[in-house]
Amino acid sequence: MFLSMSKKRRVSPAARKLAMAVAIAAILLIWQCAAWTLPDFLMPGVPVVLGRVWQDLQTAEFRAILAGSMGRLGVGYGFALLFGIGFGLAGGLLLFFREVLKSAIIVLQSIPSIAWVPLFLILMGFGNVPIIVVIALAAFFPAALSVMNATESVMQTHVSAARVMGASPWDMLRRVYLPAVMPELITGAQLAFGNAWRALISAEMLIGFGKGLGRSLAYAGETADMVGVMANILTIAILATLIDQVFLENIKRRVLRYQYV
Amino acid sequence: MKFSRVLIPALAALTLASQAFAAEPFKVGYIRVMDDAQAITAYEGKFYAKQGLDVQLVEFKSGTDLIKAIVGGQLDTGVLGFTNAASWSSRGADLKVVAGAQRGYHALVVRDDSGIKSVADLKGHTLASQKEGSTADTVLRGVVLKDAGVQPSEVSILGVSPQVAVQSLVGKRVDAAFLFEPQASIAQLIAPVTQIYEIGEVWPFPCMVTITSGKTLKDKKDLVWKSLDAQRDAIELLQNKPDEAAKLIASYFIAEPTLKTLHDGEVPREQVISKAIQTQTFSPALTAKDLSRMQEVADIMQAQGALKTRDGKPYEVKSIVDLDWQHSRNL
Repeated sequence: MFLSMSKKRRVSPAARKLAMAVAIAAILLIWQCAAWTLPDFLMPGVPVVLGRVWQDLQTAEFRAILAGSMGRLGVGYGFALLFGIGFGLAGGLLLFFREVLKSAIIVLQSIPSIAWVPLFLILMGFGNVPIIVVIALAAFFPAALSVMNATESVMQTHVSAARVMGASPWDMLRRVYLPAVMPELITGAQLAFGNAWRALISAEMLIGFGKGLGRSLAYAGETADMVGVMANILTIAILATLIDQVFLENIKRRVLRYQYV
Repeated sequence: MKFSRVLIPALAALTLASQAFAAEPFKVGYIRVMDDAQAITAYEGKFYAKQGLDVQLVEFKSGTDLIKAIVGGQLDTGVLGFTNAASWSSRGADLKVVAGAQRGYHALVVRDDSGIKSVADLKGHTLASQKEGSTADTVLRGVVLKDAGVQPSEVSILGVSPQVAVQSLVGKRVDAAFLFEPQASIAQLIAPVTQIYEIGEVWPFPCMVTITSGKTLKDKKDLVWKSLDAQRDAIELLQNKPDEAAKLIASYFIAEPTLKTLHDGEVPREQVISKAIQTQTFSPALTAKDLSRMQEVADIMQAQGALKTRDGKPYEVKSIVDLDWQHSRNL
């Protein structure tokens, strides 16, 4: 019954793709309308910007920019997931630690990670490290919270059964908690990715170190290159959508298939 | 009856709105550096008021931000680096350089413990400068570093506001800073830092100019010219009576009445600022020499890729310069 209900509420994969196409078309149309009404040095049109993105893709400079941003994102996001899952699971096992961690997260996650930049610049110097830490911080909280919430909802009967069968804490973690928290962990990871991505672009815009999409966007804005600004925004949107909808969704489907088989 | 009930409030609203428009202040954008002292002095010394202008000074962190407010129509004029007008006008924005202001004085100041003795030593060090794409940054990369044979990629350049640049240098976050006045003087008074290079001595160029939009110049020419008259008077005071001018503007740069120096104890802020004023050259007029230097800077920008004309032809600085005010005042 639950399945049939959920089936009814879901749209077919084809309809989902159509919805995505409609959304993209609507965004591009609004953009193009803005371009028609504003002077072109303020708002370039969609074809011009698409042309620039295509042209940029052929240059080694642009590929270095992409590599710089993706490298920082990978390291920052990777650390956030590692620590998020670690702390989340520890919180699931140790009741008092969970409460402490939860309270800490409530206090800390209200601070936008970008607000730490001035402090990090002094502590860590001008370079990649402060950007990566800002990304990791932004992504850590949703990852840790989702894992922790999921461990709370692990069925007590499963835990007791495993204990009775003589499972060690490590077995408990690997065989009971981790599989149970997987669906929420994936959702948390997607949420964390959104945070990490936004933090990456803002930190790069603010710190302006090395090569990166955020810095390239900021520089285009400083030099009146609005085509460059829009091309960077478009690249940011396309990349984030690709990573989220293709990469993370695929992982999610794979993991959840294993869950429901 | 009904119609008048709507009409009267509507008319009243319109009258009020038009009054509000009439009372709209003349907005001048500035950056908190000595290069913009003419605008600050004209405001604090009531030179604008003497011309019958109700001026509102609006502060910006960088010329690259200020120019956006002029392009967007939120500001009437601004005193900023001309490269900003060049890059936006090359894309099609209607901007005009209507008067001179100050000839670029930018000092390279280094921490004594960094071991940097010359510009060439900057390789591998961190340097605080203005935002990427600003006039100061353009000249830093295209003249200062280039002449010393240093690639910009060999130095970690941090693009920040002049205030943050000083704080970074004093707080040991960077080894060197490319500073405006009075920040360069202040840094040397309060921290163990030394000036190793001054571009005004090596390669003087008109850094700050007065910029307005073509539309403002057309619609409010009278007001723009009055503001330029006021700024000319302010420049006269700055050049001839720096002590008097310092009294007007010192609080803009040093919050406390005195500055705690490294070697000479507490020094009154007016004294520090007066000295800083005297290191500068202000001029309300743009000379032929200034114009050719501006063209040189524009060429550097084009070579750096920061300035791109739509047809790919060389950028002509003359196309944005409007010297009618200067000529009418015989400057």
